Amino acid sequence: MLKLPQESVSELYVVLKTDVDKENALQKLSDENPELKVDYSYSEEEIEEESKNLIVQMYVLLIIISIMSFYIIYSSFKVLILERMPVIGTFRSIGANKRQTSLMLIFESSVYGVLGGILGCFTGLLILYIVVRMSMTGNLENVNIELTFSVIDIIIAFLWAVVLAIVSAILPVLSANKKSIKTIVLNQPEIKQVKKSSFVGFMISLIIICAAIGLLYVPFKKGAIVFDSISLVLLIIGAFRITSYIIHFIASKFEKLYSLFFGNAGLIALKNIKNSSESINNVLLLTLAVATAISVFTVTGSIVFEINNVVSSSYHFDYIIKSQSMNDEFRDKLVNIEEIQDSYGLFSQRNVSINDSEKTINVVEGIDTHNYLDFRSFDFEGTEAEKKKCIEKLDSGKNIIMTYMLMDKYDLKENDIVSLETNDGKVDYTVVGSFYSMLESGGNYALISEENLKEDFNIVNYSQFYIKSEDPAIETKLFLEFPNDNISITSIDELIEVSKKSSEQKTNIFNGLSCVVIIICFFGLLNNLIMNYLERRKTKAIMRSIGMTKSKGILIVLVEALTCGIFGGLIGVAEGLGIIHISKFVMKAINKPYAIKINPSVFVMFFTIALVSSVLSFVFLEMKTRKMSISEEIKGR
Amino acid sequence: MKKIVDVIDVCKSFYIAGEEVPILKHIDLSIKKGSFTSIMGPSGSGKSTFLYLLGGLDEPTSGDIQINKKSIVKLNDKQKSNMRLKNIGFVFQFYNLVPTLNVRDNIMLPVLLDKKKAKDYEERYKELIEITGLSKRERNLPCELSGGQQQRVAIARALINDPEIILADEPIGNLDSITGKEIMELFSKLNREKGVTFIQVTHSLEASEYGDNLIKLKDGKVIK
Ligand SMILES: Nc1ncnc2c1ncn2[C@@H]1O[C@H](COP(=O)(O)OP(=O)(O)OP(=O)(O)O)[C@@H](O)[C@H]1O
Ligand SMILES: [Mg+2]
Repeated sequence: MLKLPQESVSELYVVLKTDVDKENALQKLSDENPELKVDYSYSEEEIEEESKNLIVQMYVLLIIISIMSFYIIYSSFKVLILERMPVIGTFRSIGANKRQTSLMLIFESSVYGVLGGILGCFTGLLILYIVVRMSMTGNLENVNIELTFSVIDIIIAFLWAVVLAIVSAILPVLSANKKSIKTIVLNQPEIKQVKKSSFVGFMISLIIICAAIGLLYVPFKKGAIVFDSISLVLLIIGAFRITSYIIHFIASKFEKLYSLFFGNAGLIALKNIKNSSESINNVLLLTLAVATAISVFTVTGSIVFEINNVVSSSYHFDYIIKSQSMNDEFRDKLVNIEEIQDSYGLFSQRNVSINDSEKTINVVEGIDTHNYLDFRSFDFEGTEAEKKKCIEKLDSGKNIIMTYMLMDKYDLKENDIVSLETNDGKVDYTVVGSFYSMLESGGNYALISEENLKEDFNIVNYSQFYIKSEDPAIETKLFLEFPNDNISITSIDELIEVSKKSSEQKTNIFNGLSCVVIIICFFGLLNNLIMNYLERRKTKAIMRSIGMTKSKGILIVLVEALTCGIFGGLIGVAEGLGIIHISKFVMKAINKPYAIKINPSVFVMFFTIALVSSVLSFVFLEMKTRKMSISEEIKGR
Repeated sequence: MKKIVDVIDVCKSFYIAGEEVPILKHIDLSIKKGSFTSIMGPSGSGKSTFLYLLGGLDEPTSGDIQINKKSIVKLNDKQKSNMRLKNIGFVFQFYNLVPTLNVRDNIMLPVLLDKKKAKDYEERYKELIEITGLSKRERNLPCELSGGQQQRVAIARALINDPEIILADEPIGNLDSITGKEIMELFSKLNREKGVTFIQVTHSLEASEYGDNLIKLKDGKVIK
């Protein structure tokens, strides 16, 4: 028997010892305290449901970041192997075979992988700590969140780093293997015919992108999330491949336009871009960063918007009153209070099992079909009149209306029968309609009529009262009016505030992560720059030696930077839209069909960031080569 | 014959580890228009340094260099660039082609840098491609060419703007003897038929025999 405190309370939270079986404890508490309603404060399922979209987004980010790292390591390794070529040649010429030299290189890459993995795990923990700190604003400020991660998690992350390093190193190693000893030792460039502009390659990329989009519409419900993930990967690969074709196309077809705007400098810049793997690498990195940042910002922004809006868009009243003892007498007293314009008493039952399985509905509300819609609303496919009609069906028999999320989750259709586990055993209800709502952790609730709820679940007391009142002093007034009922009053403004705070934390986490993506991209650009720095220096010296003025050199480089920035940004925006489109399907697959709000300013912002960082990296290059001596570069000193 | 290059008391030193090391010491010489000059000397004697001074890629520590009686030492960057673009063609030992441009674009680069239209140089280009035997390689990138082919591209590039002077730093130093000979024949022909002034640095006696003027450098001084 629970010993209630002296001043009685309306809600009592119980913390169980950690090793106690929760089901049993719940049962025991219910049995021992028949006058109390005992229930989980927050079921694990609810928490899982809540964190689902967070987790899925994390996976999407993980995929993107992995592809990006893969790409950066891959391109670095290509250069590294070029540098190792003489050594490999020497080894090969003294009798080492291809396998041995490959193993040597792969061993080298695994050493980097291991080092990177160790370093990465530490940095990762640091970032995690910072992100958690950052997200603990507002009501969580003083809460001590324990970061729980297992050794297994860290080992997996570590192995992932090693695998990523090795896999991204293998491709360049294999291509290095194709070269003959002679070309390696003599450092002879291989003489090959220029490829015809590859129409086939372009078509393949196009097909990959189409496949990515097609996969979204595969009508399997169960594996949807898998198809969507594959679709995401395919889209990124397809976009990757097609980008170099687009850049090639632009470089060939825009010559007239460029020479019109920038004169011959524009022409030279275009020709440079066309054949320089560095420019294409830059464009690819920018594209991926813009796409990721845009999609993460847009999707989180939309989720937060909906979460923030769920209270104000679903509740049309000013206060919620809760208490254990709200019966008809309470109601009569309430409606007589002058300052209250209108009120609605809600009957509800939590955690109702259906179809004798583990399946449950978080909340079943028994509603008064005449005025429910004056206080609560939800999105409905159809007109207002049809919505009203649908609700009215609840009065004609054992009927139930559910959210799309529940219908999806339990695979139900209209006119299906569900049996609800009531106090008097199972009762069959017919599904007569569905609606969309984000209340109760993303819509985990259903509606039946007040009569049915009272009858089947033996409910006499109201669970909540919604009241409409403009009087700012109404709370005090209510406490005076009901001194013995232990009422709790929450204003809608407070609810909105709370939901804003909690979504802020999520936004902070994801915005933090998109910043990480952008930082990785910056490192990629920098890496690219350093890798190609010597060659760029040399190229500049060559052009200067045959008469390019300094200012023309700057103009050429600037045009290159602008071109890479603009097209990297534009393709990134397009790819971002693609990822957002896939995200819609992913969220549908996890029963969170948030409406995505495209915010043009996000697109403009990241496009600008791409442009600026492209220009900045070229400015950096220009600064570094400003004072170089042409003759020294040419002499190869 | 008229003089095209005048080198007047030129010194050049480099700072190596904080110490001034004289490389060229009081060089005085002149080169006639339309001549074919070979500069020879041991490694490290300052041949390349001297050649780059003539082309305005570097500045003498003291003294003056005049081309067509006009000092190039006092020119600003823009004027020097312009001189390199219009009056001088460079051919380097290691080709120095722009790796991102194909054969045609490399050859046309001086034209484009000179704010001229590639169209107007089509005839000259065709002619050079023909002479250098590159007609099947116009769309190739430098990395797709052999050393000899790359050097021929560099030569075509040096000639496209019809310069008065060609400065060549060991133009055949990296080529086999047959290709080297072909290129020297080409130089000689251009010198004879078009009156282009050639100044080449070379280690090979054979190559120097194509010329009509020999300058020997040793320890930073001209020896006869
Ligand atoms: N930028 C520089 N800084 C310091 N020393 C230099 C520089 N350029 C050349 N030198 C030195 O000047 C001397 C002459 O160099 P240069 O390249 O002109 O020789 P070279 O006659 O062309 O030799 P080689 O036949 O080997 O090409 C060398 O000792 C070289 O070390
Ligand atoms: Mg030299």
